[in-house]
Amino acid sequence: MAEHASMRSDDPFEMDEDPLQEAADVEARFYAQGYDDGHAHGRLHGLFEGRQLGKEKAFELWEEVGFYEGSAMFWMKRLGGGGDKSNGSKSKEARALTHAKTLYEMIQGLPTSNPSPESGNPPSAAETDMDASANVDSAVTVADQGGDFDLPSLVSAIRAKYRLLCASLGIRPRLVAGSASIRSRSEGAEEDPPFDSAEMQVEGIEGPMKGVDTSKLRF
Amino acid sequence: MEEDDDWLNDESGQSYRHQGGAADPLVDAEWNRLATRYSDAGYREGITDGKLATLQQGFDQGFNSSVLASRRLGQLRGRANGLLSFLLKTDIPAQNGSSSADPARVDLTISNVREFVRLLGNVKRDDILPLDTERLEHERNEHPDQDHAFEFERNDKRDMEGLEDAMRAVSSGGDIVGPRPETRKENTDSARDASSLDALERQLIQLEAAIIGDHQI
Repeated sequence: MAEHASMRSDDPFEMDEDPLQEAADVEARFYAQGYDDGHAHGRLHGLFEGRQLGKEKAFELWEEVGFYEGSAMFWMKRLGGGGDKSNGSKSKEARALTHAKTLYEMIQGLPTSNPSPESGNPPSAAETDMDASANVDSAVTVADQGGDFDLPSLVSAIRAKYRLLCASLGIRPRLVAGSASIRSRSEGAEEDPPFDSAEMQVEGIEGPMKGVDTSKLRF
Repeated sequence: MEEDDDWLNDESGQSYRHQGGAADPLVDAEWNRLATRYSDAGYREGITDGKLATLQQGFDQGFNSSVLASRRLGQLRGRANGLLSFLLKTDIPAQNGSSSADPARVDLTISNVREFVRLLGNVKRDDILPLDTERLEHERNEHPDQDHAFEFERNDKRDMEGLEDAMRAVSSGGDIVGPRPETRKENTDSARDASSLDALERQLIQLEAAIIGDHQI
């Protein structure tokens, strides 16, 4: 589309040399004018929609991770105080405390900003010639390749550690199925594909929950 | 007689002077048609490209601005859930021995915590995350007649959220067909105040102090 934009900057002197040139370019001028207006409006919409998607994604990820963190905090506080425990339960609780501490530390290591390598950089001019879906795909690929760390596997490890903590305490873990629906979404979904396997795993462990948002049931 | 005249004859008819000239209404119509057609085509392409140019930037902004509050809500839920699990799994009468083991009181405590967990569960994403004021302004100014200027791809989660919003509106005596966007924004603001995370945290701290203090082991 760069060529359309460039048509606007036609040299006025050239126009003088060829009076018909203006008439010949009239479609291109209209197109370029429309393109510029649309681009300006589209940039705003892209920003707004991107923000909304980012909010959804951040909430989905960090509400879950925050839940694990809160659980770890509670049990660290609760078990870390010591007290008059019987010897039998002491070692069990010490194990649970270790799990809670490890879980808490793992969460502290999780990045709190979006790990997108192209943060703030709009797609290059070459990308703008592609159609919408191709563009999103390429963005996802770039994000997948460029990350310094493997966020999905970190999250999976955190989930596993949380379940371990629950098992050691003998309490029911929170079911995680609410984010399974992100599979159908393509926009801005850098971490989506690896998440799927984790969600499937949880589904397998926790039993059938198709069509039911079990996280909503717990709260 | 006049109709048989040479159309090039200046004197014969008005059509010669108008056809294709500046005063010909067809020329204006054609000009407008061209302008609309090509501007619209350009606009469509431009808006798509413009969107793609800033989508990632917006995503990062939205993500970064939402992590803190989301994490905090998650923490509160995790702590409250831990408290409930602790109460449910702890055999309080046996542990505490005699005096303070009042089953009725324990039941009351459990139901208090359950109620608090339910309260936390009712907090929605939009209640705690910052509003995109630029977007609201843009919607008001540029798309005042559209309920949803921003179309998002439908998925189960968004459908569920829409359903929850509708249910909330119905249960609070709201409009059955769903709140208008303006109403929704007002609701969001009031919910934001009512379910302030600070207030919830204070409540949780009180519960924790009451329960853990009571059953110090």
